Amino acid sequence: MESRKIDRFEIELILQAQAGSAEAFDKLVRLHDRRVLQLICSIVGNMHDAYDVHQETFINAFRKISSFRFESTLSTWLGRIAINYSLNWLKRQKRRQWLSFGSENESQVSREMEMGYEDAAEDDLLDEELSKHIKTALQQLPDQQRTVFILKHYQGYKIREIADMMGSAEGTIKNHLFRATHRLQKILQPYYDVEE
Amino acid sequence: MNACKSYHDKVMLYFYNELPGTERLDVENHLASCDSCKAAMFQLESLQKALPEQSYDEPDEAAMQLLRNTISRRIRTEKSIGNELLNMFSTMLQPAPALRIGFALTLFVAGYFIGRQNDGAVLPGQNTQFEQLLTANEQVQSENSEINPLLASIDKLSYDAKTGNIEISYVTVNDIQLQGNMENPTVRQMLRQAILEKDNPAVRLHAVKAVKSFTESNQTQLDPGIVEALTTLIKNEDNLGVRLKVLRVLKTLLPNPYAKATLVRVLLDDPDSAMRIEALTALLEQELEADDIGILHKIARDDSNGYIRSQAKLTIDKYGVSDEQ
Repeated sequence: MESRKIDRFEIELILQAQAGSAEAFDKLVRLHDRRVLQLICSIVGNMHDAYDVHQETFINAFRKISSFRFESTLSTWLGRIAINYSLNWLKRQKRRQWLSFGSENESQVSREMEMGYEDAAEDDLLDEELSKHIKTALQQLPDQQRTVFILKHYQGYKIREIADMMGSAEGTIKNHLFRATHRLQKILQPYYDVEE
Repeated sequence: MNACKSYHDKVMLYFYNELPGTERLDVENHLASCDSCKAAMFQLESLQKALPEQSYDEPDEAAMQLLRNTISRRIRTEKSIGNELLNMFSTMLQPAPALRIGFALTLFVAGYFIGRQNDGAVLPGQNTQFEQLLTANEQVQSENSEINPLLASIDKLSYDAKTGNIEISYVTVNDIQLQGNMENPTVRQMLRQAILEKDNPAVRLHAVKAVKSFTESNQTQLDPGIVEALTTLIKNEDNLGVRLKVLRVLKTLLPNPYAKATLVRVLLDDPDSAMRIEALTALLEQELEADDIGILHKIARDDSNGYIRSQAKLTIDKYGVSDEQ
């Protein structure tokens, strides 16, 4: 995914927002909100919660906009706030797990929601089973690893961009990505063996 | 294999399109001659293919506008609080020193009393009016509930120079947690509410699953209000997974006439064959009555699904009842 270049119009808006203009900030929200929402949704796993995290992200961005130093694009800067809030949200969810009636978390719920009843052919069932395993494995990855994997696989960010957004070194991000990939591959292993 | 272990990480970076040109070429050359790395690449490609697609329904413009409006309103509220505080301080600095000291003292005294009023706001187990205790960020507990009010925004802030009172109206976002079993009428009521929840299908699914677990492990009668909510849900729900779960709950309630009527309605009218098959299976597990045979004749003749028709015919043959009945 290509980073958005800061254009003159955006710079002007940022400067106005830094001077306290809520109108200018509204326009910045309009420029970035869809991408930020998609990013958050990919991490928290459902739109309902993504809306809340999205709101907090922009409110916080407004509070901090004066500290934006143009060292990265605004898009990356917003991404960093969004990822922080999303990861915090995931932590809070884990703490609240006793609340849910089962042991499943939200994403497992969505998995079940997506699973339809079908008189599927055996191949379909195997695919479904594999997909189920991978989804479960994704859920079991530590938050940081899963986030890196999702940002890379689903959002198409470069490792450098992910490092920038997560405030980590590129080496750390690579490490997370390698570990996540290896773990998922391990789950796939039996299926390769069947094919061969 | 060991010789190219160092390449395995590079293969992964190659796969993720993270290598610069020269290194890409190097890996491509290596891949052409190394079976182990080729296999590693194949596994990465297979993983890519096997990964479930992440569905993202982009919200429409109206939904985005709603979000934008909320954000806009909140940042303006924050701004106006900042401005009011600023005005208050500048007013404080303008009068003569004696007045300034008087004003500061008034604020101090008012703050002291407000602080005292909120002392001991956490009163576990007492029958208290939560509304009076909702101090942002302060936890309030009662017998089986817990309120964690979080400061969402401050709506209004005014200072009365005559009395020295500061009035702050604020909104809290409360995570209210309720724990209890099915004997608890509040839990039952909330479950019913959750089954009928409009916006969040995950809440509906959780509620249905809770009821399902309960009915599987308890022989006690299910709350009629919950049964009614389930039958409403089966009519209105779009998600097949949730509807099937409801159907399975109703199945455990048989021969409850209300549950049976719903299953029959599903069997006769539901557009989804999976639902009809599930309903048919549930009904066939019960002892059939004369009316049921009539229904079986109807679906054996009219149902669009071959499996359902054949199952209905088999059952009719088994019971040896003619079409005329």
